[in-house]
Amino acid sequence: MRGVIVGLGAAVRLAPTKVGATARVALGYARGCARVLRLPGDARVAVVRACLAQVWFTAVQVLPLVLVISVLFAGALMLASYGLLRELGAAGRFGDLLRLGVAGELGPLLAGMILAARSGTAITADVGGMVLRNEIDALRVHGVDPLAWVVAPRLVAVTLSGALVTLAMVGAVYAGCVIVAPPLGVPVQELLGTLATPLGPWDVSRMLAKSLCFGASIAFVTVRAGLEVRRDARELPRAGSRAVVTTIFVLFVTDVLITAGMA
Amino acid sequence: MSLLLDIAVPVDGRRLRVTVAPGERVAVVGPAGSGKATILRAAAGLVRGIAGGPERVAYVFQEGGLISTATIRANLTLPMLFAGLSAEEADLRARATLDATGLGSIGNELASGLTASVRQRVQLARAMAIGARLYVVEELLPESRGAGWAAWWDTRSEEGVGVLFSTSHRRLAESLGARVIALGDAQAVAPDAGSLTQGRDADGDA
Repeated sequence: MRGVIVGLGAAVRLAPTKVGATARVALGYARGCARVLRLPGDARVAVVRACLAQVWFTAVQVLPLVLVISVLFAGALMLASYGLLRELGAAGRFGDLLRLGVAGELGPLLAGMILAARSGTAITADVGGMVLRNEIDALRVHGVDPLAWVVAPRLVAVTLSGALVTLAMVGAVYAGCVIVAPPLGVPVQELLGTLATPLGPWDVSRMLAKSLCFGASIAFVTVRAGLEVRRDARELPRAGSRAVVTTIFVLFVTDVLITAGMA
Repeated sequence: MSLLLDIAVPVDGRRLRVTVAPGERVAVVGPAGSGKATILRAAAGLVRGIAGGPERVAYVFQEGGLISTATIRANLTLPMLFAGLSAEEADLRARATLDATGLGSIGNELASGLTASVRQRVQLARAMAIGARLYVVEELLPESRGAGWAAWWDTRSEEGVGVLFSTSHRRLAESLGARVIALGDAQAVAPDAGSLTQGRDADGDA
């Protein structure tokens, strides 16, 4: 017990230092992204291509997984809630459940967790491997800014991918509800009637704000974890695991803050 | 003639002055852990608090040092793009350099899984392509001094390129006509190499 208290005390004491260090690193990464704009023309084109390659991996290649998960999630949601709402005479509120629960909360969170698990670990392993293989030092010595070439494409691509994957996921959940309705004995016309209330600008803004912040958080935490690998390849699995756990924690904290801020 | 490199590096509790003049070859000889890597990394500006060599310095890593997910040619063009060359100019120069170093046939291959000697030669080609004035080479391999490369090194020297390299091959240092900086228990490795103090004197004369 004493150990736990001492540990908590140390964590609280070190928190301002860690927050300060994180803020400094984030500022450095932001400057690195800004430096891309000042690169010579064809170097900037190379960075944009690297960014698009990352978007392809993070947002496009993940789509089959996102679609399958979304349809399964839609089925579970229908099974768990539609019958109950119908019994209560509130089936017409199913659209609100999707709007607030899926578009507002679970959609961005689930998309964020998929990205953290799939792309986040890959980014940490990739960047950490670059450090261990002296690739980052080689870039630096030969005049290639690692912040512009390594950090910026991943940061921008994963931030955008956060929004793209969230939109795909929320859309697929809506579509999934319609797909699974007949097997569950729910008339499609009745379901479509409950979904008639479209997402408003406020709902879309909140969904995009969350997904963009989630994407940026995933990229920041996982790239940083990769760049902090120092000794040998045995660090990579630990760094990846730690980065994903940190990312998921950050996602939930950010989610609460944005929900509270936009309530 | 102004020096390409003039740094003071803390080695074994002392500050060792390391200099390289244009066209000069300097070999750092010593056992593992004697500070060879520190000197080389400091020369390339990779040690915090020590300003490295000239603006155009190239570093040849013993392990890695190439972007493994890119082709060999892309490894040469990337620094040139960041230096302001157009993609077309950089590609032409990379192709010409790879041809000149006998690596033209593998330019489109990924820079992963290469043997140590090929990896070193690709990095030397990169140094040439970016027009580096100082080459810093970790553990220069005999293969990089082998058939076809003697003239290549001589041409670099005539162009004023300085070379600072570490090696455990005493004869390699001799065959390159390099000035030797011996570290630690280097006598065992290079019986004819100078001591730490001699290295400093030699530097002072440079």
